[in-house]
Parts: sequence; C-alpha cells; structure tokens
Amino acid sequence: MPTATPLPRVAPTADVTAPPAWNPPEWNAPARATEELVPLEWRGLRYTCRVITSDRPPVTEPLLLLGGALQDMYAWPRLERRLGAHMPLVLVDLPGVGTADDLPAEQGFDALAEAALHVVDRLGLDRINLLGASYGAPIAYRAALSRPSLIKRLVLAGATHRMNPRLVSDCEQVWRARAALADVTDGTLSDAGSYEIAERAVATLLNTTRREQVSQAPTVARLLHRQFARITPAEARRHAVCHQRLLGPDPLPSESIEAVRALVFTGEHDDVSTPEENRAVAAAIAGSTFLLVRDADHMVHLEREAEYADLVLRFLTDRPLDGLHYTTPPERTGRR
Amino acid sequence: MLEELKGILTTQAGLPAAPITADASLADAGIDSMAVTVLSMQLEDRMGLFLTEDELSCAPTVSALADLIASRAAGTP
Repeated sequence: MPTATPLPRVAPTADVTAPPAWNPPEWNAPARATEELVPLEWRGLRYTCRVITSDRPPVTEPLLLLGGALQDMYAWPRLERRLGAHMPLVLVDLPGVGTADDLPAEQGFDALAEAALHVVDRLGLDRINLLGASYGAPIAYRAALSRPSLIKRLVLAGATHRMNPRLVSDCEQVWRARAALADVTDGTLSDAGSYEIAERAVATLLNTTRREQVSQAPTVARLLHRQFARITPAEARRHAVCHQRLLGPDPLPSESIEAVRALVFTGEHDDVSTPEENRAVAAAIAGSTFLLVRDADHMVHLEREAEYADLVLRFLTDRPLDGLHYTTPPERTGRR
Repeated sequence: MLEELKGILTTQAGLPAAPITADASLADAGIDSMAVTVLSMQLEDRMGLFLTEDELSCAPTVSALADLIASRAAGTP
C-alpha cells in the first residue's frame, strides 16, 4: 500500500484579536495546490481520500471534511479553493459513497466513524479539524466521541440528533422509486420520469416556503434538480440505504462531548435539520458555540458559500465569531 | 462578450475575477457547476438565450465559452 506524503507542520496562528471584518477567504489558485489520491482499506472495504495541500504554510490543523449523503469527495470545489491556502484538506468517499465500495445496509454510523478515523490514522495525522455536514454530522460526532484527543476543533453543519422520520422516509422512498424504475426500464428513464424523481428529491431537501428569503434559492434548486435527474440506479440504491440508516435509532448519539472545541450551525430557514435541532446538538457539547447563517436553508455551502468558508476559517483559526453580519449572534449553549 | 461573461460570473456567480482569463480552462477559472447554473439562468433572463448547463460546460476555455454565447446570441448554432 503506498504511503501518503507527510503533511506540513502547523505554523503559529495569526493575530487572534483582529476584529471581525468581512473579507471572504480568497481563492487559492489551482497552481498553488497539490492533490494526492490515497487508497484506503478498512474491514475489506476499499475507499479513497483526496489530500489537498498548498505551497503556503498551514495556519491550522488539517481539515477532514465529511459531507452529506448525496455528496462525494469532489462536491466542495469552492470550499476547497477558499480554505486550501490555509490548511491541508482531506476529502473522502467513505464506504457507500462515490468511488468507494458499498457499505452493507446493516452497518451503521459507528462503522462510518471508524472508517473516517482510519483515514486520519492512515495519513499519520496526530491532530485534525473535523467538519461534518448533514449526513456527515453524526459520523463526525461519533468520531469526536470516540477519539476526542484527536480532534482539535469540530464543526457540525446541519446537525440533528434524529432527522424528521417522515422527511427521511420520503427521501428513502424517492430513491427506492428511482431504483425500481430502473428495474423495469433497464436503467434508462424517460425525461418525464427523471424530472419527477428530481422534483420530489429537491422538494424534500429545500424549504420551499422560505424560498424568497434564501440566497441563491432558484439556482440551488436548479443545480440540485439537474444532479438528481442524472442519478444512476446504483446511486439511487445507495441513497436509499443512507436514508434507511438515518431512520435507525440515535443516528447522532445523545452522549455528550466534553473536551472538543465545537461550532454548530445551519441556515436560519433550514427545515431538514431545524435551528432548534442544531441548537440541541450544540447543547450536548461542552463549551460549544451555536449560530445560524442568515438568508440560508440546509444547503448553506451553496447558498452562501463565501460566508460558509469565512465562518469555518474563522473558527478553525480561533478568530472571533461575534458581530458577523451574515450570522445570528453566537450562543454558548453547551454545558461548561 | 468576454467582459459581459466575466461580469455575470463575478457579480452573479460569486467568482473572483483574476482567474477568469480568456485562455483559462473553465476549471482553472473556477467555473464550477454552481457557476454554470447561474450563467445558464442569467443568459435566459438577460438575453433570452437558452443554453443548457451541458452546452456551456463543454467549452474548453473561457474564450470559447464567450464565443459560444456570442454565436448563439447572433443566431448561429
């Protein structure tokens, strides 16, 4: 098995007392970034991570990013560009996602957390920042519970202890319907069929009642619609299994995290993981910070991508989160 | 058309201006799926042009993308 290139050491963090001004993180030019694909194997399952490093010295620990159920390791191009100059980035197709082997349906979030931690061990990292978004949030939470000393900072975006079962069930049914259609049409859907599936999938993920208040809402809806209309039967089956997993008991455990600095946030109009549900997750993490991104829904990374990157970068470099125009005031909801 | 294209990509799609040069590939210019979606919608709204995301994404460079839009605006396929 090839050995991953060692990541550079962390340089001291810059001025931590600087006032919170609005300058979104600049894009890192592709020429300044290096990408390495690292093959992984865990319990016989093969998967891959991408390690993005910059020619600039890192200002914080490497960031392992665990995305949502419908996102592979290439799904965060803008966050890559905006954060890549500041820290090494590790993006992974965990088992059941993208290029990875399937994860058996009976395997739950603990298995995914173990597979995520295996990435860190395989890369030889002794401390990381960890971001779990949506479906990635329970994986990240369990990883932090399991190995708190490994996690320097934890960011959870769109997190809930248990997603609305009706909504999850709707999602599962959409993808099962897509897979079933493939069975009778040999994998090829009519335009009308794929359009209808995509419509249903988009409607479950976006808060259509707040469309007018959400930044980039029509664009995000169209982007997701186009992606969902192209989902293959195999991908549809995987998505159904992901949502079936979310219907299991305690996707995100009620057990508290004690010794990891944490930020929990979502869009103020999110109805997939509501503000109250995200706040409850923050409350279970000692000393954590909770806030909402204004004019955003569940897809904050698309709706307000520059603000998303700015918020994450601020937290990962220990800069203040007070007074940001694009968020609600930070709440310290976690027990102390 | 290149400047108009650049204007849409920077003001509507949130891309930085510097990488959007005539010879840059779409990837190097930062033109991702979100930007292509914005562009397709803006061309429809502003100019009444119907260019799908697939058509726009096929352009090998920013300059070729501008040429594609210009030719479609001029009524040539």
